[in-house]
Amino acid sequence: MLPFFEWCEATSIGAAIRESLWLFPVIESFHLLALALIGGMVLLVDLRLLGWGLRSRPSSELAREAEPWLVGGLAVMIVSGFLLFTSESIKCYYSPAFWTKMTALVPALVFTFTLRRKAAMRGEDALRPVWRRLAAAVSLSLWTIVGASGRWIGFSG
Amino acid sequence: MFFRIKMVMLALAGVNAWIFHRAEPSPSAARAAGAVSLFLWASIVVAGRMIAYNWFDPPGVH
Repeated sequence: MLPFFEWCEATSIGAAIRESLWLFPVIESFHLLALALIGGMVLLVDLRLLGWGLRSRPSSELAREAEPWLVGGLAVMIVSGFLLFTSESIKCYYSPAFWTKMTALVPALVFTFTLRRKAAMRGEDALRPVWRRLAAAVSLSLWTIVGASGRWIGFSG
Repeated sequence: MFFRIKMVMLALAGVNAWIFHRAEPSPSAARAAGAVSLFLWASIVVAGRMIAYNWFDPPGVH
């Protein structure tokens, strides 16, 4: 897989971001704003599933209304993240934090848009609280690993 | 520099929330409070990240 990383690093976009004084922090800021949006949307539904907050509204309603914002945040996240990645692909290749993040990101995305969505959409009567809580715990754990190891990429090298 | 901006924005976000909760706001006031809040919190995130960059600090600070 290293040739692909080398190719990314060699692109003109990667070089431009690397050589600019302000491009990286500006793109990173968009990455962080999208992170805040995703974190908010994930928390909204997971706290509801845990039964800790927003209990006046059904989880199906919250999940349905949060989803477009979640998808929008993810779109900004993936575009800005890929741009940041092209500026330091080789560093990422040798960064355990980067691989941890990518390895957690796949199940986080799959879980969020399959089982967790189902858990949130089913009514409170249709699904036992233990399963709702489990879905929220898995979701929060996976997204926490993604966020924390993502931050850790910046501390390595 | 960015740290100071962040702290000022944080204080303003607190003031904004305080005003919002003081009394039942009208719909337009609530919208304004929401817009101000979004702007302030976005600024806090960006300024917070920028603390790591010392572009505008006078020489000798770091």
